[in-house]
Amino acid sequence: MSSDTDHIEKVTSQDYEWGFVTDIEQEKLEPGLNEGVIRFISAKKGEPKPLLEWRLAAFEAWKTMEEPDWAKVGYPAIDYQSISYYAAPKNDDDRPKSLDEVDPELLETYEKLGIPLHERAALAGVAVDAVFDSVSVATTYKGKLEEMGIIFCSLSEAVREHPDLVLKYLGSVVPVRDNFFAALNSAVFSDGSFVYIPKGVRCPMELSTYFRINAADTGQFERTLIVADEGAHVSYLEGCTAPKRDENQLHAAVVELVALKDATIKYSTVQNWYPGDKDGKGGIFNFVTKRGLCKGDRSKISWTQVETGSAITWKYPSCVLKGDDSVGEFYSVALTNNHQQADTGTKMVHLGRNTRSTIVSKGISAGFAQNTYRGLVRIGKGARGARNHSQCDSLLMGSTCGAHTFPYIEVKNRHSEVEHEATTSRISEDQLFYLRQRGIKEEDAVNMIVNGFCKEVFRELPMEFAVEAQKLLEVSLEGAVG
Amino acid sequence: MTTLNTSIRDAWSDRITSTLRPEDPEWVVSAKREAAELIRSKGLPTRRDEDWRYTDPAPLLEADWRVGVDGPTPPPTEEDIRAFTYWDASAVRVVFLNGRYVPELSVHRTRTDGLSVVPLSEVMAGKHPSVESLVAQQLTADRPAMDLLATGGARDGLVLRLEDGVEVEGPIHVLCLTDASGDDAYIPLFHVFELGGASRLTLVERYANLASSPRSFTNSATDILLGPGACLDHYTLEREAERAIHLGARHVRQEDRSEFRQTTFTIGASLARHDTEVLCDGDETTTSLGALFLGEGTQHIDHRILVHHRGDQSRSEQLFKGILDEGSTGVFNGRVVVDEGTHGNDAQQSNHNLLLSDDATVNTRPQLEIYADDVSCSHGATVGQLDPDSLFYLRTRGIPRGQAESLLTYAFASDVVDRIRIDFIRERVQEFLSTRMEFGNTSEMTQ
Repeated sequence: MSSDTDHIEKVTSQDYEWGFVTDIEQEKLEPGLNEGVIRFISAKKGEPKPLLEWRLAAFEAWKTMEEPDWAKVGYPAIDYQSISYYAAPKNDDDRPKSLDEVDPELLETYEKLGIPLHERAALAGVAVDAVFDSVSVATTYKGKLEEMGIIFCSLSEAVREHPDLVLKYLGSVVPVRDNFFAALNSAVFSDGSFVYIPKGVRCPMELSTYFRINAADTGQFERTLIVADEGAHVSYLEGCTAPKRDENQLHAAVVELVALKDATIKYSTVQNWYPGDKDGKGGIFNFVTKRGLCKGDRSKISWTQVETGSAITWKYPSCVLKGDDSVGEFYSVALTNNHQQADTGTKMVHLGRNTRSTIVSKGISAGFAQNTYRGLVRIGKGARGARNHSQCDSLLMGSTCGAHTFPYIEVKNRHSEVEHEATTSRISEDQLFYLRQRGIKEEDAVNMIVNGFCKEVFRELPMEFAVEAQKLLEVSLEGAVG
Repeated sequence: MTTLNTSIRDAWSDRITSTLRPEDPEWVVSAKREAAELIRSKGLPTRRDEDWRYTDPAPLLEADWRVGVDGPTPPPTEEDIRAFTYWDASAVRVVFLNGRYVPELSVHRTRTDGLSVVPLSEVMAGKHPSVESLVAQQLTADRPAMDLLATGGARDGLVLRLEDGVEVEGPIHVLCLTDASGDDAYIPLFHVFELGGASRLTLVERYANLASSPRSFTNSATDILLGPGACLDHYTLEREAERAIHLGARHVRQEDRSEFRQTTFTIGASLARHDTEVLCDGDETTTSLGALFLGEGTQHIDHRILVHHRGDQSRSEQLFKGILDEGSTGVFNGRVVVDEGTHGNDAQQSNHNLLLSDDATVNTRPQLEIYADDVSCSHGATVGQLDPDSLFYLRTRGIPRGQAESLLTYAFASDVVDRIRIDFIRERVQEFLSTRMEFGNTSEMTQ
């Protein structure tokens, strides 16, 4: 350990030997990844030295790690030296001036999703000053949160204004060496959100990146850290149902949640990155590490995700149930169409006594897509009275897609109960027949059945998200029926 | 790490070539050389392989095993093996001792036309040309490295062939015994069963130690080919001694409308692993796999299953139950694959485990890999202890706690036990279970 620290110190204290000059004014870095790039990013953000050291240590670790290949996804090798690791957020001059300049196909999708007119502009990336409502809404909310002592800002801002708090928890749930993509993220993370809910405070509203003014363009290596102090309660929404285009193909985000004694964190995601075209060309590679630590007794972390986008999804939102009587939940709908591939699931690690976890996973596969559930339930020796129930259902639409279920269950304690159930089938002919007999069009009937199939998960989503998610499924499944 | 692995690999490769004999015919020589070469090129599994994630193969591969061990002198008599055979109502009994055929103890009670049962050693010596091509073909079949150690190293085993339409009355009993003098005996066996169209057979494979035995490693591979409409009811009873290692691999290929039923009981060995790969190659096949395993001490019992549906309208089911006591570990690694373009397949898989001690461990991985939409597949897995409500119910009826517990444990195991269609074996297993559950681990299984 001490030799590690020594090494880090040596690395961080020496000058960059290839004579890299940190040019803070530069807006976009040339492709390539080396120590200089990391120093540049850190300097650009005005980070304190410990954070730079942390990034460099992560980079050292990353260099020794191998890209994982166990997931059931196939993609061409990624050249990590051909990626640019820093680009300043777009300024207003580069953005479309009005909706007329936005891709009509994108607007059509907004229409189908029923997104309010004034929100469409913001979503399409139209310059902020052209968007009226949302800004004022966000500012009002921000004031209210500050009053209650809630910190909700970008991670870069938090690093500058609350360095102790950030450094205390950053990397405490997902250590830099956790996995290849987490190490990469730790080294080069661009920005993300930071949330801190003080003791006993119940956050009065759903926190959403959408309402954070500077949320635009957090970049491809997003990092989110949410800390709920004792007895605090927060519900956080990430992403939105509107399709999001991005020039960066590789996304490696890290999300860390920390729930102290009696705290509750509810984290909902709707992911709808560009999935590539019908032939599987293009699309985002989404390699995400999400993990929550139920650190204190009676804490609770609940993940809800609706994954419909990305060409490749590699994502396992997990809970480490350390506190006694803590609760972990995972509700997921993963839909893949055309040539999309998803390998997603969760890990529930039971360490404390009487810890409980629930896993509900619904996978829908259509076209030529491959959809995999991969989950781990581990009951440690000390987790007496632990309880887990997992339910994984897969729905197949079409004879060329695949649905796979790979659970791992490890139990080291007899005073615990673990149940896992999974089914795989296509839409039942009987259900379809029944609905069609009632005069419902086949496509509508399929949508109804699919929505029914996902009901258990949608129920967990905040109200407005749930409605959008249903529509999103319909749009995503277009062309898969009939 | 890499160099260590290379030297172990070479040692195994050499072990295989050391089983070559000057008088061996060309096809045996080439098959063994090929196996030895494959071990060198493919390498051996490590814990990094998903199939060996929960069972570390290193300790069993690294040990200095001896090939071609001697048996006891004088050789065992009918009386010595009585404990395993006195119930015997089998049509044919074939006995192997330390991986070698023992003609003196093998019995052909009833002759059935169209049934040939011969030891592999005789086939390799050119005495049975009619099955030579079958054996040669299976010897060179593609298989995992660990099974190659069995097929490549084996000098003996059972070669069975059943002609079309033949039904064999009474089971065939294959008794594989270990009684090596001295530690570290490596005992490979290779069995090949080919059942012709619409034939029927019941077969019992049994692995046990003749006397209390030193450390040994039995590695058996069984290839089963089922013709159209053939039906095989297959039992494996494994009860090797405390220090034994048992690896058993079964590769099954099913043609149209064939039925494969397999029931495995695992009680013995320090490390027991059963690999079953069933390829449902034809349409309308039926596959039913069941197992009961009882662990105690520091036993490690692993089942790996692969059921691969390549045809249409086939059904498969898996029922695996484990009862784990003391510091034992149970592993279930079951996988169902349904190929693209297939229709109407139905696959069910279940694994239930009962933990009786705080030190017992269960690792279970039921997996579904489905590439077709016209399917109905499901799996379920549970790990837990006896249901406290049921226990309470029985106790309110005046049944003492201990008895209530054994009753419930017995009930847990009973649906696997009920699969046994040979009355005598079923009764013996029931008896064994009830004694073991009542008196802990002191009872002996007598059959």
